[in-house]
Amino acid sequence: MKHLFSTLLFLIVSTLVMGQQDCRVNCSCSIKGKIVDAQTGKAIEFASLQIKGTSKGSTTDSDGLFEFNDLCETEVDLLISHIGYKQLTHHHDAFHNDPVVQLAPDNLILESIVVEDKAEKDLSKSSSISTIEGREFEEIKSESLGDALSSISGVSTLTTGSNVVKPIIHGLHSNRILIINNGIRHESQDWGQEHAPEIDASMAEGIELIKGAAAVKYGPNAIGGVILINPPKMELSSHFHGDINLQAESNGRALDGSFLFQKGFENFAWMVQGAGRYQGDLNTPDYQLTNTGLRESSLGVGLRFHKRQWDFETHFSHFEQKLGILRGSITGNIEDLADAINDEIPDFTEDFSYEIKAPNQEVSHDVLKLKASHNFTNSRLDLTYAIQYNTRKEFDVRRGSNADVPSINLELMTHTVDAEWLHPTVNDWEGTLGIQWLYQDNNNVEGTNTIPFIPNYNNGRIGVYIAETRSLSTNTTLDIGLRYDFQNASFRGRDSRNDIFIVDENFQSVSGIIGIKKTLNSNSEMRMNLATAWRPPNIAELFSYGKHQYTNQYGFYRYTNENGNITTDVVLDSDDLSVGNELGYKLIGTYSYANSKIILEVSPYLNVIKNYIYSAPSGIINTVRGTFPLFVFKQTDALLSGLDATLKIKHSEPISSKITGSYLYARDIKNDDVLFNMPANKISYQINFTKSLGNVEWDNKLEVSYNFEQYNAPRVIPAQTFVDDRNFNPFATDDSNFDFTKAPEGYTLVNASSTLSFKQWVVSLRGKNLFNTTYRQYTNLIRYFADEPGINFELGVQLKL
Amino acid sequence: MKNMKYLNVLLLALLVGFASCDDDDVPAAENEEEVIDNIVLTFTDDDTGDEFVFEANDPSGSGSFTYDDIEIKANATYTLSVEFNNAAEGESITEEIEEEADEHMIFFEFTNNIFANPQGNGNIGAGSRDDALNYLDQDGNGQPTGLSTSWQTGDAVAGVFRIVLKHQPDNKSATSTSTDGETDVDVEFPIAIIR
Repeated sequence: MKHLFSTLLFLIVSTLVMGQQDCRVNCSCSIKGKIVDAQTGKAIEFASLQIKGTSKGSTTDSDGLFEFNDLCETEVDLLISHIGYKQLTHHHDAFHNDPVVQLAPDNLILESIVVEDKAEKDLSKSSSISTIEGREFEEIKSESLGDALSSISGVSTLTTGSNVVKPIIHGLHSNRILIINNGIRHESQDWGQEHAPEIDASMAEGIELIKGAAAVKYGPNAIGGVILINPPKMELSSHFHGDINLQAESNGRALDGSFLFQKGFENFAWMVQGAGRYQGDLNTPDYQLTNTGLRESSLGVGLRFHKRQWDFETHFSHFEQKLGILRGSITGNIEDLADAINDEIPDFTEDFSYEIKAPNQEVSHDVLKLKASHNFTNSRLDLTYAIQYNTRKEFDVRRGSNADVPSINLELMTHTVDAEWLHPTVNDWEGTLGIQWLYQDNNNVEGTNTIPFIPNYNNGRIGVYIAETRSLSTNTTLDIGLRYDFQNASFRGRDSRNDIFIVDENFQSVSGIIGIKKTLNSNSEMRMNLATAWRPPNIAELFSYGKHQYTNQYGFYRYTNENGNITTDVVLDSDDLSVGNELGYKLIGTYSYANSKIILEVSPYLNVIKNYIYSAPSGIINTVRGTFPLFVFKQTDALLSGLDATLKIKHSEPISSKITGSYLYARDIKNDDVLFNMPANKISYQINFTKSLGNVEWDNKLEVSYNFEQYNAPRVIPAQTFVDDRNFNPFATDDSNFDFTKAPEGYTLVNASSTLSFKQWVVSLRGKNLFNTTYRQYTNLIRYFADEPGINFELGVQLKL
Repeated sequence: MKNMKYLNVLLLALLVGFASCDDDDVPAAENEEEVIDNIVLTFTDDDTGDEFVFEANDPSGSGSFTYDDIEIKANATYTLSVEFNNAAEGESITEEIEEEADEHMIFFEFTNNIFANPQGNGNIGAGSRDDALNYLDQDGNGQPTGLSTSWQTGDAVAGVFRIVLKHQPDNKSATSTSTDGETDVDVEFPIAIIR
């Protein structure tokens, strides 16, 4: 700690003392950039540029490059034009170097855009980052966030039916991955496996995924990786633009729509966006999935003010969702579970309906973000405050007057303040210093008529970090970073006799990262980093209590186990039981090779997690409702290792193809046992056919993917065994984990899409699961009960403004 | 020194914020309304009107029940009424079941041929809905509920007597069985038929 602060002090002092020359003083500022054709990517020669309000002009050379020298300003508006192309005004500032301007031909629907050097995001140059944006993202953005992300190799989904979809990165999900939405840590009740992130992917412009343990910059929980969700940028000096999307789907008879409008002035820009979805019951190839309807709506408003060195941004977004959960997936005791597993068609299956009954979830999420940036001569300070309000109501099938009363009703308020300083280069070191503060208040809303599953809690956390990067030689870059977090949590709940308990706990940890990026030759580069991340045990892992679906689940502090006798009327704290922080150590490398024909990317990784927490059946409990499987949380050491690979091949025009694959090996290395719900391996092949027919662009895709069976699944003890022998002890001769059914078999899925673009219109037709394959997915929590959805046709229309 | 000043102000603001945000609200005491912790079986002798009452209780709310031993006389005919209570809340669950009779059904299982009528071992199991049992009540759709049933004893014998209350919203029908819907109650009493 002392060292960190002295480094910080050194950097501040050196900036002030050495303070690099301000180019504005002696009019030595310069701008460099490149202009290319938006369609072909080829350099445009003789394009003309002018600095607005001055007579200064320039043209591009044969490589499309331009340069302005001897400027007295670091911020200017560039007017860019060329015969046959759409004119563009670009606001340039000192913190987005080397703009690449993509000019769109006059006759195309494309707009001219500017791609700026990512000034802050790529600080960790050694990280493995995957991006989905542009046309590729537009095709999938009507899907849930988890499904949209799963097109990246190494990402799979943990689902509860089709409506609750959580991304899994390299085998880790929920509290082990971080979601940064519009620069803000998304804070929700993400301890639950059936609690999906409350984010509408169709409101984003693109998604980035950091597969390493990027905890230094983003804070605790980033053990598996970080998902960055980027909203549309509010560019200054941009004309009114946006888009309107409408989509209809055959499976679930769903209607989905979204819009985005935005405009930028000289010092001011705004955007408004919205999205909605209305979906009825989905169907498998053989039957209806009753009560799997969905309603979703979201709204976003953004404003940006810009004044010389100052940039202010405010953003508000609202998200709400009501989603049904398959009626037949709710069972009572273990006998009901055995019956439901044995049923070919789930109980309560009815004809198609849009109606959503119990069980269902109603969630909402509001975010207000205020951000101020100040550009100093050669450094920048960003200050961000955000408030998030998350509500969650879960309705179970209940009797009588409780039928309309939620069983879980939670409110979570989160305040965050982030300050980040991009410091001036010191001895070739570039980087940021930051401090992040968080305060959370989680409350149970009165009136559920059942003992709260989790108690009330408050979290306060403060974290400081430094992340630096430096060129070691012309082809090697070094990244290092260090972070310290301190968290105080107070938990307040009711025990089994309704008596109040209060537990206060402190958590702290240091995280670090070290990595290199090496350019091997003009075609290939290698990135490698070793990072650590941590997370404190979450609220459910410590304090969950009672019935949740077909299990009875107890957190570390809510049970004692003496020689197999489990008592649940206790409340412990850290004096009675030490529950350590989860500590992750992740080594990930990426080798990439690109030439005019192929692009290859291979990422092997190794992640060791100490104190890995998971919930497992540990016996049975007899209640008035019969016998229930008893789940308790356990702590062990886990190893997750694997490989992601992507190969893109450009065959002769107009055909190209893409092959992706992911492999994961996961193991409990302390007990030499398998782990639960680890995604199975997957390979896919996609062939693209693109053709221009006059003004019309025609784009076709066919994708075949094979999902393997999860061979690394726990042993099987059928639920029926517990029914036949009420005192059956699953651990009598074998203390390894078990599951009630075998992992589903491998399956092949075929998807296809065809897109026509003409003028401002894009019309697309997509088919999913084209052969109407019946299958079940291992990481779907309702795989015991029902098949996955069958064939689905989606017809989409987009109007670009 | 501009940067330094910003940082100082910021740190101070954070620490002040950190200290002032303490609250200590505790979740309200929720009454577990759906818990059934008391089950009462009343066997009434049809001839004499004598009542024999047996209970299952879970005073601690932990789920572990204590059961009375059922003792009824041989060669007699009884009407059995079943009551379910949330004793901790002083609430009768039986009333709710009566109100929602079309969503509830009680199934019975017992040692094979322990009764003279019904014969067999009861109607629990996938294919056993139509097995012998003498329901005396019915819901609005003409389906039995099981809060009131008739039992005829034969010779003295001992065994077990199991009661399963099923919640079958939307799917209680003439063919629904004890494998449909959710189990609200599943208890097993020891039973002795004595001279």
